[in-house]
Parts: sequence; C-alpha cells; structure tokens
Amino acid sequence: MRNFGTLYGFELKKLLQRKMIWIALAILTGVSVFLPASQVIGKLYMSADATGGEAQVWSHYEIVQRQRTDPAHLEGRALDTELIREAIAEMGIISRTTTPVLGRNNAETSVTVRQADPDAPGLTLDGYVIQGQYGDIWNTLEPMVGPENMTEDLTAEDYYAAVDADRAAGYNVWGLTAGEIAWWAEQAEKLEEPLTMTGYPNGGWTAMAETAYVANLFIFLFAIIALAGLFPMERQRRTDALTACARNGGAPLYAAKFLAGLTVSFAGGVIILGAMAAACLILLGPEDAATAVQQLMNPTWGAPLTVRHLALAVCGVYLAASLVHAAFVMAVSLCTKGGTAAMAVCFGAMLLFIMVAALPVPQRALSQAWSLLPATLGASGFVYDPRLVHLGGYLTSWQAAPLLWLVMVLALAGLGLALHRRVANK
Amino acid sequence: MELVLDRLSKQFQNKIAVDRVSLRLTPGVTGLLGPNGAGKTTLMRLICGILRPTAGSAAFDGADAGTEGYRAALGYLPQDFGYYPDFTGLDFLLYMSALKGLDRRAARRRSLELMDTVGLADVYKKKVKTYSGGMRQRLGIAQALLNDPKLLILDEPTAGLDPKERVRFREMIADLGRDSVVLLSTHIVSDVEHIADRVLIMRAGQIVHDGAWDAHEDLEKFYLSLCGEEADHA
Repeated sequence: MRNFGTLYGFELKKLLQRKMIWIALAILTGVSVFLPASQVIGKLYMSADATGGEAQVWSHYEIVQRQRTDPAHLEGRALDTELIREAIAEMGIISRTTTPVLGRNNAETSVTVRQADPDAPGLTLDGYVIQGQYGDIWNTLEPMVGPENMTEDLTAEDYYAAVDADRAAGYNVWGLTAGEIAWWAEQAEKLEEPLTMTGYPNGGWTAMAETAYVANLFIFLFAIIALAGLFPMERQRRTDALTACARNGGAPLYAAKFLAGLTVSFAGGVIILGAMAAACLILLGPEDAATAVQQLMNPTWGAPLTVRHLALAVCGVYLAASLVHAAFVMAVSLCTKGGTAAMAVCFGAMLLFIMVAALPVPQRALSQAWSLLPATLGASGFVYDPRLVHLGGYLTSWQAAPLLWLVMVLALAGLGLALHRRVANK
Repeated sequence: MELVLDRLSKQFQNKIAVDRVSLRLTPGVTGLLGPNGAGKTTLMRLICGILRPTAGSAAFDGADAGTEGYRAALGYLPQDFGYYPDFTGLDFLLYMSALKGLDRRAARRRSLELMDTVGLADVYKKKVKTYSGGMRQRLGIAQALLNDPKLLILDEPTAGLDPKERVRFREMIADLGRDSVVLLSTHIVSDVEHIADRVLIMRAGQIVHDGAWDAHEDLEKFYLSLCGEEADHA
C-alpha cells in the first residue's frame, strides 16, 4: 500500500494533538514518581527510652542512604549455621523481650523497627541499620522453621531442609504437575548452597519490581483515556464519510490507526515505567541483590534470579502488556461505537481486574489463565508464581505471558478490523 | 466512462430511503434535486460505497462500489462533514492524499495547487479551526479533487459560499464535467439551471424526473410542480 507511513504519521499526529492525552500522561507519570518517592518521605521518631539517651529523629531518606552507603554488614557472607545463629542471637533476644518502638514501621523498606532490650545500650542509627539486615534473615527463618525452633541450636541444614519442605508444600498448594516439579528441581540445583548474601535487598530494583504492578494499571488507565475515542472520534467529528470512501479508507486506515494506538500506549508505558524506574533507582539506589536475597524474599522460587533481573523482567513484561491494553481498548471502542461507552466498559473491566485480581488456586486452569491476563499478571505472585505454561517446553508465567499476549493482540486486531468494516459499511 | 446504478435500494428499518433507482450517468454534470428527506444524500452515500445497499448495485466502469478501483476514481464532498481542527489546511489535504493513495511528492504538489485553486493559498499553514465556514467548504471541495476523480459526487457544494465564490465554483464544476461524471445535489435550483446537462428530481426515494434540461425553461416552477408541498417545506 502506498503512503502507509504518511497515513500512520497523521494518525499519530491526530492522537498527540489531543490535550487529554498529555494531561493524563503528566498526572500518571507524576503519581508513578511519587510512589517510590513516598518511601523516603517522612521521619522516624525514636523515643529517649528506645535510644537509651536522647530522643532521635531520622528521616527515611537518611536511613535508606545509610543502608546503601554503609559497607553492608553481611555482604558476601554465606547463609550458613554461623550466620543463622548470629541472626538468632541478635534478633531473638529482641524479638522475645520487646515490643515495637514508637514511630513508624517502614514496611516498604523492610526496616525492622524493634526496641532493643531495655537494659541494652541505646539504639543508634548504625545499630538500627544493622538490625534491619538481620531482620531479613529473621523474618524468613521464623515462619520457615517455626518460632519454637528459633534457638541457638538451629543449623543451616535444618534451614535448607525446611526450605525444601516449604517448596514441596508450596508446589502442592499451587497444584503443580510432576513435570513442573521436576523442572523446578532442575532450577533449584543451579542454586549453590549455602546461599551467599550479596547486595542490598531494599534498593531501587526491589522497589521497581514492587511498584511496577501499579504502574501497569496506570498504563492501562492511560490507554483507556488515550484510545477509547480513537475510532469513534471520526464519527463524532463527522469525518467518517470522507475517510470511508477514500481508496485507503478501509483496512489501511484501520491498520494505521491501530498501529498509532499501539505506539501511543507503548510510549506512554515507557514514560510511566521509565519515570517510576528512575525515581526508584535515584532515590533508593541502583545496587543489585543476588540470589540469596531473592530466596529470602520468596523461598518457593527455586531459581537463580537477582533483584535487578526481576525488576527488568517485570518492566519488560508490562511494556508488552501496554500493547494488549491498547488493542483491547480499541476493540471495545469499535464494538461500542462511542468513546464514552468504550471508556465506561474499559474502566469497568479495569475495576474487575483490580477487585478480582486472582482466582482460587484449586481451579488450576481458570486461575492460571486469569493470572496471565495483562491487568492481573503480577497480582498473585507474578514471577514467583511457580505454575508453568507448557508451550513446547516449560515457560514461567512472565516468559509465557508476552507470547500469549502477542496472539491476543493479533486476535483483537482481527476482531477490530471486522468491526471497523461493519461500522464503515452500515 | 459510465456510472451504472441498477435497482439501487436502501431501507432503514421501516423507511425505504432509496427505492430501486436505476441510472446510467456519463461524463457531464448531472443535477440532483429533491425536497428534504427525498433520499438524495442516502443515494449519494450509496454511490460512494459508504452505505451498503439493501438491494441493487452501483458500478463505475465495471468496478463495484466500495472496491479499491472504484474508490480510486471517486471524489466525494459530503453535505455535512467535519475536520481535524488542529490540522493546518495543508495537513488536512496531505492526510486526505495519503488516504487516497497519492505518493508524498505528488500529494504536496497537488495539495498546494488546489489550495491556490480554491483561494486558500495564503492560509494553508493556518489551523482549520481558524477557518470560516466558507473557507472550510472550499477546503472540502479541494479534498474531493485531490485524486483527479473521474466520478465526482458533490452534496451541496456551494452551501456557505458567498455569491462570488458560488459563481466561481459553478464554473469550476462545469469544467470538471467535461472529463468526469459529476453528480451534483443542491437546494439551489439556479446552480443546477446554470451548469447541469441533465437533471434528476427525487421524491420519496424514487427518481421522478430524469432528463436533459432546456435552459430557457423555468426549472424551479417545474420542480415545484413535481414535488409540491414537500418542496415548499424544504
């Protein structure tokens, strides 16, 4: 077809000339920056009792920066019996004898806020940061081996046996097949035990991975606002008669519009996710955290994956999701024939996806299919969802989803073309 | 070069808008008159392939309405149409050129040429939203001519134009009729009187008169005698 590039360019121009798109993008980008920024806003007040001296005030930003820049207390250490007992000794006394201190417990940065033994020396910022690092180990060990076993006798072998048992139980809960369990066992073999504590677990990459799910919903929202009127706009402006009888007014025009819609949604995704990622990395630091930390965060995930890998995979997958969001909104708009109606239907769908983010696991096929939708992926474990997709070989959900979504985009494009032809020729 | 309508019909629920219209149109200007609701615009939309007929067909030089070959020969100015307000006049014509399949260089040359022809050469860089109603109508005429159409369908082309412009456009349409099949719908009987070689009068979806027109006769009186009260209300 001649001049498709020009047609596409003009369709893009038509879209970008709408002020609503820029307003929506500015607001959503701003909120995406605010989400990670909110983790370093605020202050932590430590009473005189907790510090054993004067009352102290630390800003969250100060704590985060100290955690990042101080030589990591546990960096490079193996998660072995010695470290486990050290953590128990450090945290166990605190856990058994104290209650949380006054102030704010910053769950996002996983800083453990516990008051030291009232008879012990006061809590300093250094001590507080170090305690937080033991907190990650403690918080994993305790539910894994049970509070009653958190004693100085606990060994690394006990811990790793508990992890294996926990994995097996988890696979059972998820309803994995024998083939899937075998695949995961292969992955787990790649992990070297004892695991090594490498990197800073609460930095920008972790925040990125955790915030990306919300950013994905923002991208969906942006696609709704930007694209719900893309096709109905021609009828509302009464330009449909001009375009419908032109030589390229059929499939080529549809393709140009569809491609422009995908482009705008994808670009919006890059901007929203990019802003969120930049805020995470600038405010919380770009330090990576290696496999051991991942294992601490989710022991049922028996595969080597650093926090940076995780964050990049999440962002990449959500960029792919932006294309499906766009295709879905455009197909709905062709179906409803009106921008407002399309917006209402898509908002309704988005609310449904948020409210019913996951279906009960025992309904394996339905539950897994639902979890692979672009707006629900990430709501129930996401990369930690051990249910695999069998496409020739086994793929994890975040590997399979983009492939399935490609098929969805093509199917929605075909549906849209059929609807476009029906609308154009009444 | 011939437009052939064969029992072309369109029914909307209980209303038959166009009722078994059969015609053969050859190069020249054909005027289409009729009161409001007679089915003129529906007939034109059927001819342009924008509406799908309930029955019958339209074909130009053997190509059926709606096919790519048919649309390549077609130029259409709808009665009531919109614009992209943030496009400049030139952007609008370049966009329409892309839709009509013109290559980029030819599109620009032809667009500038037509902007000059319709008297918009000095405002081609201005946004369409700043244009007056008459200027927009002229831009609409320009877009219809972009692909040098062999079949030109004009629905109320002189509406909104001042008398001087109307006369100029009547002459332009008469010129176009030498090499193309031009179907011109209007409420302004004098426009048809001046330029149409053939006059069609439509009433209740049917062609009630089809014939050449003698310029010495009073077309308006004849039209009123055929359409009566309906025409009075038009």
